[in-house]
Amino acid sequence: MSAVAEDDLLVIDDLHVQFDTRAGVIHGLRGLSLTVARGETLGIVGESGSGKSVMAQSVMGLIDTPGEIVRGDIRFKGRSLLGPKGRSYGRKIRGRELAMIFQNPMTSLNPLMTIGAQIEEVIVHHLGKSAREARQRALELLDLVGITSPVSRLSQLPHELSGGMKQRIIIAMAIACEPELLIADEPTTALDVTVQAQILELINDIQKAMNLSIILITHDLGVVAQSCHRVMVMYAGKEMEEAPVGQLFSRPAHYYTAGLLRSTPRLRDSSDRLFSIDGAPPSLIDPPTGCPFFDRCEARTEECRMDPPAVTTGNQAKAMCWHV
Amino acid sequence: MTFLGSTMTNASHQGGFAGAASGAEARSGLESESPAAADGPILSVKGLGVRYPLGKRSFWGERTYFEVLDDVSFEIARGETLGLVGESGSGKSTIGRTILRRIERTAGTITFEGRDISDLGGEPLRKLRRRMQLIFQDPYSSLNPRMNVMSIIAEPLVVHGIVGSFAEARPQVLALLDRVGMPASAAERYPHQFSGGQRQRIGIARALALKPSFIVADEPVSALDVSVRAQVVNLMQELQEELGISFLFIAHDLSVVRHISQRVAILNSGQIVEIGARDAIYERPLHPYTQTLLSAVPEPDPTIKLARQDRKRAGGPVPDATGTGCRFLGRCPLASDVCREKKPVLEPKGVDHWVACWNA
Ligand SMILES: Nc1ncnc2c1ncn2[C@@H]1O[C@H](COP(=O)(O)OP(=O)(O)OP(=O)(O)O)[C@@H](O)[C@H]1O
Ligand SMILES: Nc1ncnc2c1ncn2[C@@H]1O[C@H](COP(=O)(O)OP(=O)(O)OP(=O)(O)O)[C@@H](O)[C@H]1O
Ligand code: SF4
Ligand SMILES: [Mg+2]
Ligand SMILES: [Mg+2]
Repeated sequence: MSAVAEDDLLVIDDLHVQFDTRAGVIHGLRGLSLTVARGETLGIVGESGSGKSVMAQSVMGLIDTPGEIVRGDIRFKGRSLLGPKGRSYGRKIRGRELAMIFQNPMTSLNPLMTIGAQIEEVIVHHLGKSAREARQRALELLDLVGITSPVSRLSQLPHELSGGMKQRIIIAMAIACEPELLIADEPTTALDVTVQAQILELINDIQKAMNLSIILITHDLGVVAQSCHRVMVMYAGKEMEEAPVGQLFSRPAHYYTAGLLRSTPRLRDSSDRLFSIDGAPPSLIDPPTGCPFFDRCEARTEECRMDPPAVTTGNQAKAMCWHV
Repeated sequence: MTFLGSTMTNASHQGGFAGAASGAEARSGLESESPAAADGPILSVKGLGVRYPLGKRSFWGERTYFEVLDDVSFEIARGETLGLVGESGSGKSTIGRTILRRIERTAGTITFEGRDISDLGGEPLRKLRRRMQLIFQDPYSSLNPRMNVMSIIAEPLVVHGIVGSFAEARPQVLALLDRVGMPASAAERYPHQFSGGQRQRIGIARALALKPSFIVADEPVSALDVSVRAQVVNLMQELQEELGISFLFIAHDLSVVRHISQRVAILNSGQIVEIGARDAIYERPLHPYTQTLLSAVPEPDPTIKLARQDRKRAGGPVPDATGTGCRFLGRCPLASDVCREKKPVLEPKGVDHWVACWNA
C-alpha cells in the first residue's frame, strides 16, 4: 500500500529501528508500514517485544540513543516527521494534534503536583489560555472522562486516586488539546477487569464524540475485539497481517494470527485443554531471514525461509505469508 | 482510597462475631454436602482471618485494623484445582501465603492432609514445606540469576537433605527438566538465556523437585504472552492429572481460570462471596459481584459486545467503613437495609454452589 490516500492521517512507511546495545544490535522494527485513516481505531496486537511500543515511540519522536531510526518514513497529514524539518514540525504538533497515553499509567503523572495543576499546565502550555480559562476547561475535561465531583478532585494528588481514576486523568490530559490522533499504549493493562471495561467504554465514546483517530496498542485480543475497527498483528518487529476487526477474528489468514486466536482462552468455553503453539518468538539480535514465525508454523516449507509476500486478503486486508 | 479492604475498630470487630458464628453453620453445610469432603480434602481452611494494624487510633483510642482476610473458608479435594479470582488487593496472594505459613493468620485454622498445621513450627513446619510449594507470577525475578538451571532445581533437594550434593541431584534434575518439556542441555544454562515461558517451566520443575502434593500457583501465567500462556496452563493440567497434585490457582483472568479449575472461588475485599463447581459459577453466577466481574471480560470476538458498564457496579472498590455489613455494599445494585446491618454468609444455592449475599 504505497499510494497514500487523501484521508490517511498517519502513514508509516518501511520503518526500521535499531538499538545498539552491549549484547548486540536489536532490530526492534524491521520494515514496518501502516496507515491510520481519520476517525478510525487501529488496534496493534503482538507479543511482548514485538515492537509495538517502539512504533509508538518513533511516531512521538522518542527514539533516543542507543536507538536509531535507520530507514523509512513517518508522515502526519502528508508531512514527514523525520529529518531536521520533520523534527520541528513534530515539536509543533505533538501534545496538540498528536497525543499519547503511555504504557505505565502510574508513572505518567507527577506525584508531587495536584491533578488540577497538571491538567491546567497542559492547557496553558499548548493552547495559551489564561489560568481561569484553563481551570474551566480542566473541569469540563474531568466531567467528560466521567470523574465525579471534579472540583474537589482538582486539588488532590495522584496517590489519592485509584488506578482507574488516574487513567481517566491521563486520558483527560491527552485529549485536552483536542488531538486528531491519539496513541494509547496498553491503556488498560494495569487495571482490574471492571475498571478496564469502563476505560474502554470511555475511549470508545470519546473516539466517536471527537471523531478521533486512535492507535490502540495491546496484547489482549479481547480489548481489540471490543474497541477497534481495524487490526494489525505484529511479530518480531514485523507486520504479519492486517484486516478489519470482523474479518481478522472470523477468517484469520496468517498462521500466527490463527494460532493466537486458537490459544486464547474464552470465558464461554469450558473445554479442558487449550490449543497451544509450541516454541517462542525469535531473538531480535540476530533475527532469522524470511518469515519470523517459521520455527513455530505448521505449514512452513523451504520457501518460507525467504521474505514472504504481502498477499491481499480483502479490502484493507493483507497477510505476509507464502501459504495464505 | 489506598486500602481496598475495609477498616474497622476492635469494637466493631467484636460486633462481627455474630456473623462469624453463622459462618460456622454455613461451613458445616460445606462439609457434609461438598463432594470434596467425602474423599477427605487435602486442604481445609476455616474462618481464616489476616489483619494489619493501621497506624492511627480511632476516636475512642482503640486500635484500628485493616482486615485483609475476613472469615475465609474453603476446601480443596485431592487432585483438584481450585481457581481463586478477585480484583487487585482483594487478598488472593495473602490467602496463598497464609496457607503456606509464610504470613501469620490472626484467626481460623488450616488443616492440611488431615492435620491442623495452623501453629506448626520448627522442624515439623520445615518438613511440611516439602509437601506444599509455591509457583510465582514473575518468571523474571523469581529465579536466582547467578545460579544455573541445574542448581536452581537441585537446591530444594539439597536443602532438605534428600540428596547429599548438587552432583548427586543430577539424574533427578534431568528427569524434572524432561517432565516440564525442557531439554537436558538447559541444565548448564542461566535464567537470562531463556524466554518467559521457559523460565516459568524451570520454576515449575523446581516446585516439583520435592514431590509436593499441593501447589499454590500465584498468577503463574499472567506475565506470559498469550502464545506461550497456553503451553504453561496445559503443562500444569498434565501435572495435576498425572501426579495427582492439587492446586490453588490464583488469577485475575477469568477465562484462564475456567479452563484449569474444577472449582472456583470469588474473592471480594477479603471475603469469599461465591464458591462452587466451575460451571455453576460461570453459567449461573448468583452474587452481584461475580456477575459484575463476568460481564466486564472483553471476549476475543467482535460479535459479542461488552454490555455498557453500570457506573455504580463497575466503580472502584468502596470499602464499607463500619465493617458490620456486606463489603460489596457500596457497589451493589441489589443492596437493601439488611446488607448494611448484617454480614452475609455463604449459603448453599445448588449442588456445590455457595453464595454470600442477602438478596441473591
Ligand atoms: N531503549 C531500548 N534499548 C534497547 N532495546 C530496546 C529499547 N526499547 C526497545 N528495545 C527492544 O526493542 C524490541 C521491541 O520492544 P517494544 O518495547 O517495542 O516491545 P512491545 O511490543 O511494546 O512489547 P510489550 O508488549 O512487552 O510492551 C524489544 O526487543 C526491546 O528489547
Ligand atoms: N504488611 C502489610 N500491611 C498492611 N497491608 C498489607 C500488608 N500486606 C498486604 N497488605 C494489603 O493486603 C491487601 C491484599 O493484598 P494481596 O497481595 O493479598 O492482594 P491480591 O489479591 O493478591 O492482589 P493482586 O491481584 O494485586 O496481586 C492489599 O490491599 C494490601 O495492600
Ligand atoms: S510464511 Fe510460511 S512459515 Fe510463515 S506463516 Fe506462512 S506458511 Fe508459516
Ligand atoms: Mg510495549
Ligand atoms: Mg497477588
